[in-house]
Amino acid sequence: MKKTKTKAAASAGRRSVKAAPAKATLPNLKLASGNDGLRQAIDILRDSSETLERRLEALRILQAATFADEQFDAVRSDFVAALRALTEDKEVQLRQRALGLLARSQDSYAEKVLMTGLKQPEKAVVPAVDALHYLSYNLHSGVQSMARSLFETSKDQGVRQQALRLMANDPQAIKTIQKTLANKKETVEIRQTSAEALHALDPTAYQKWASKAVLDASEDADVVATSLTALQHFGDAKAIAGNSALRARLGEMSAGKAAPKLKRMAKMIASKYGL
Amino acid sequence: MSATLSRCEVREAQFAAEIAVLMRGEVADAQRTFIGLCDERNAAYTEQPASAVTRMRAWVLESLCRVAPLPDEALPFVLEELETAHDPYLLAVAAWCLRTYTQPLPSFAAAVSLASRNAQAMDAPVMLGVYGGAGPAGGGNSSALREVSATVEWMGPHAVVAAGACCPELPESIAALFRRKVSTVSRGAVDRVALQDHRGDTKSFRERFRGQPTIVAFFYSRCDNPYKCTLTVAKLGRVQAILEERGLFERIRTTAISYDAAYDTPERLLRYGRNRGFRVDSENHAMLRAPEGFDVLRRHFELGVSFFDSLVSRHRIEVFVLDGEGRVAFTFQRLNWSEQKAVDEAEALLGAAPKSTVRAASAAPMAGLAASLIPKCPMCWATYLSFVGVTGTLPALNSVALKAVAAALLTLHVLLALWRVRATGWHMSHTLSVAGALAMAANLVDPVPGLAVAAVALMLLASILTVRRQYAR
Amino acid sequence: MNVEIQINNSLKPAARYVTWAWSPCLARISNPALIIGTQVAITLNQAALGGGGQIRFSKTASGAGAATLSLTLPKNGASVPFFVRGTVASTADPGLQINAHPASSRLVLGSAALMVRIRKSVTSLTTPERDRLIAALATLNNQGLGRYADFAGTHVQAATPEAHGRPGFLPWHRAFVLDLERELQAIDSSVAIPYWRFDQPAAALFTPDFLGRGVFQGPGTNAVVFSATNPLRFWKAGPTPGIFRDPFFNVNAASPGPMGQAAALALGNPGALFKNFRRLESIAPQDYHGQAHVSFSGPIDSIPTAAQDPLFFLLHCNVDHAWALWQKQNARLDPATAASFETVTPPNRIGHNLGDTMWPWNGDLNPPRPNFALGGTMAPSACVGAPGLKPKVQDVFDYQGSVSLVNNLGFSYDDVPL
Repeated sequence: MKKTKTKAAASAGRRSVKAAPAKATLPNLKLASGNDGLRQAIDILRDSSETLERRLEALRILQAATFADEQFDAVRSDFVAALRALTEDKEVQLRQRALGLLARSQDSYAEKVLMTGLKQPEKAVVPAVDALHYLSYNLHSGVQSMARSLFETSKDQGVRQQALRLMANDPQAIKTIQKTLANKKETVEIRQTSAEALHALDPTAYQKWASKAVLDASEDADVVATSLTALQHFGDAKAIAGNSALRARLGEMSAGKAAPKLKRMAKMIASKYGL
Repeated sequence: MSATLSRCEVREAQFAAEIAVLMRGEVADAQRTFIGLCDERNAAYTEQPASAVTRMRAWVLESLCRVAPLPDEALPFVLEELETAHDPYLLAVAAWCLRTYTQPLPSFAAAVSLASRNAQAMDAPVMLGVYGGAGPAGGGNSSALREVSATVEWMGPHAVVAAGACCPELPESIAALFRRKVSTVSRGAVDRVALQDHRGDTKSFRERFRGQPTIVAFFYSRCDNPYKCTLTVAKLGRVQAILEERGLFERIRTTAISYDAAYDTPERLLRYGRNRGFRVDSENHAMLRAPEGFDVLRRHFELGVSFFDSLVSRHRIEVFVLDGEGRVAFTFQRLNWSEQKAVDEAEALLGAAPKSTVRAASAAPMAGLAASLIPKCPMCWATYLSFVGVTGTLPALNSVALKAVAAALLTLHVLLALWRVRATGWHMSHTLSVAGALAMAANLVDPVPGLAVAAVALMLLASILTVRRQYAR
Repeated sequence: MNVEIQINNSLKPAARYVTWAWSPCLARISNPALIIGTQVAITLNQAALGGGGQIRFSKTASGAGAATLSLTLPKNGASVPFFVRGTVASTADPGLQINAHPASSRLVLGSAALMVRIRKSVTSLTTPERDRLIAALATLNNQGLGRYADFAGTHVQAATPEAHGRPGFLPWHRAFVLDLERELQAIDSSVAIPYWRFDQPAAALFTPDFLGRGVFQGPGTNAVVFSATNPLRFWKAGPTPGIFRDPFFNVNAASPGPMGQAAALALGNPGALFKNFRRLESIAPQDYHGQAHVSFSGPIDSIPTAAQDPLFFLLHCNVDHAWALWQKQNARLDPATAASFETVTPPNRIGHNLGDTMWPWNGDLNPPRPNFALGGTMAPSACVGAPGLKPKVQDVFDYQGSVSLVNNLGFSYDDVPL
């Protein structure tokens, strides 16, 4: 099955289900109690001849049981083995969920599968954006240099956005993040993600940038709103109070020369910092 | 991007092939090579991501124990993984490997007990005998828990660790493998390394570590192994509590230094330490980073750390006790270390080094005081002679002899001051002291009105400043 | 003449919060000018301050209480005790104020503003209540540098045995939620953690202005969408910024799993036994709690990462809410009552017996405890003294001080009476 998988098939997961049912109706698997029931659930999960609904329900039950700690110890290894096997399953939803769960416990096998897919897209079992995200649960997986590279080369905005989030842990990426944030040709989503990344990596640098963005009359309204949000909730009171241009601009906004949303935020900032 | 990553992959494959050659016995003394590869500083691990380093090290350990029973020299690495491995494959290999040792020792109990606790939370299939530890579709022929359980069984009655009781210590021949006694005098480059603390204040290595013993641990805040950095810093907090109990909190320093200066900003250092109970409410206790010059520190401490793409990919637990000169006097590495023992070692240094330090530190100001009391002007001579005359007790002296004594004292004073500079760095007191001595010397050769008074004032001021610094410390 | 009123026996602003439980209060003459005789009769009543809420007064911590209370205060300034309890929750701070009048006039001799601070369902929060909650959460997180990191770092795999799979599951999580709530209250005293009734639709919760909107049945790799004005957009509690959470259920209409609250409350039967009730943790088909966690794809679906998502605390607040309801319905508030807990011989693992202190607040790093304990002791409250800095399992049962006033933990649920 793995050999027949294509990039398009891997990508299908992004748009797997659009419509939401009115009410989830979960199949009754009629499991035995205790560990026997959990083993039955593992069998159903691994069985590709079972319906997707029953396999998903088995996965749901097993996932919930992981919260039982020692009661789950007897089947933990079998569950991990089943999840690893699912990384090659025909159902993209199962592949995604298995990889997500394994990645969250930093499973080295899953990390290798994901890394291979990023380096050799023809072997990818999930889209690159998913692989990047799953790998982000272990920064030591070697994903950071991959993220920097994909950010520069990928045309997929989702991939670039996820790469930016990974770069929020990477001091080597700070200049790229700042450049992206300042680049008005980038999409608002990419710039907002850059703002979040810079804020996580170097809050002081972002606060300075946000203050400037508020003064820039040609700046996008959402980028300004994001900047105001950061100033309002995480701002350095002294720096804000000492910035006369910012104070003046907030005054203008409060006085009615801005969209209602920005006006409200400007007022709240002025009130919080006693401007 | 793929260039870098491909190179890593190629290197990993080459590594596996080289191990295969060793396994086939085509290289003499393969065991020695394997033991060398257990060291995280081995070039094989340079610029390899942590996940690859884990696979490589696990394969080295497994191969080592397949070639022959586990030798003593490799025990530190196996016990280290039992205590701190954060990966099921590596843990399983360590557990399996220990069982190839000649016999179970009671002193293995602590490591096996920790492995037993850790294995439950991270159990996963493991394929022993295969590089990477995973079979087809990630399946295995064993698991972390199975291997650890088998090792517990192998330990027999020795596996039991009584609650609250301390475990038997390793035989000295093995325990010695976990530590290094280093007495290299710290000189040159490391003394100049700038270390920034959690407040953002920067001081040189010399300023940070001279004058008092220090217990130093290395860590980084992005470490996600719950058995390493987070524990190390929490234990350093417990060291502080012991120091407090023994009344040594201000006499012995504690310091945690980050491997990851680029990410561990002062704010992150502060938060990381504070949240693990590490007190930073005294100048003597600090979380540090070396924004520049980490490589110098790395060489000085012989740190067991490797990096990939600026992120630590592998490190061992390492804690050092430095003497009052900043020299490494004792090390703990790899295994969980005893806070009591660290304090004992530091306290022992306190008994020896500081006394001499205080003596040496006091000699210069005392010489200064003595020099300042030598008569340097006609009025002084008159006063002294008047005093001598009044008391009638002083034997006859001539001014040439006194000048010679004064010159000798001044020379001694300058030499002592310069010697102190080596130990404490250059301070204002040294400037004043040397300037005063030079002025005094000039006045002895060719008296200038007022110069002697100024010289005495300078030396007195320097002496006061030095004594003040000494007592403040 | 002036009267000073202390709420929760304190003049501290942070102490002026009450719940359904009886709060001890004091009144005294602070300025005896113009008083004739050795004492004066006053009446306490309540006045609205805009934030809503209602209280009742009593001279003892019992009974239904009354809308007013008459007290006689000695002229010498000695304090006279009385009690108040909330009967209607406030929506803003301050909600109302207690006024002291002379017995025969409406002249105000002294007053104290207060708030009836109650844990509510997420669906009944007002917009300002919601905004105060998310602002406090964002501040506590502070782009990953704040105290929230300790909470995310505590609920991890290595600590699982302290909090899961055993009788201490409910007490430990009650303490965990309370600790976070108190940290939030240190930022904004008016905040109480709301509970997410995960067996009912809660469309208002999963919006860009609240906890973010995810992609239905996505792969768990989508960061939820926040509005530009939502400070949670700067959230960082895991390795990367953002909150990742894709629901498997239609958050507008459907409940995520088969078990409703009523069925969960019936789990204790027969006998209304704690050992039966605690099955709600995770094993199907009783997995009331577990199914909520796994009704999303994202960090919240796994123990090691679950607390990276602030939804964790709203979810667990509801698990605690269910326990509180069960305790009330079955009179299981007193840990000394055998059926209130699961005491066995030999004892449960350490941390799961009534007399055991709970990690991480006890700072115990000795095996089998985890080798780390982030965040220090339990956050103290200006309103109540319980459960102490290093709470024991038994200290979190009587959360409203029904058995003994000193046990009051300082929170109540909107639909669980005293």
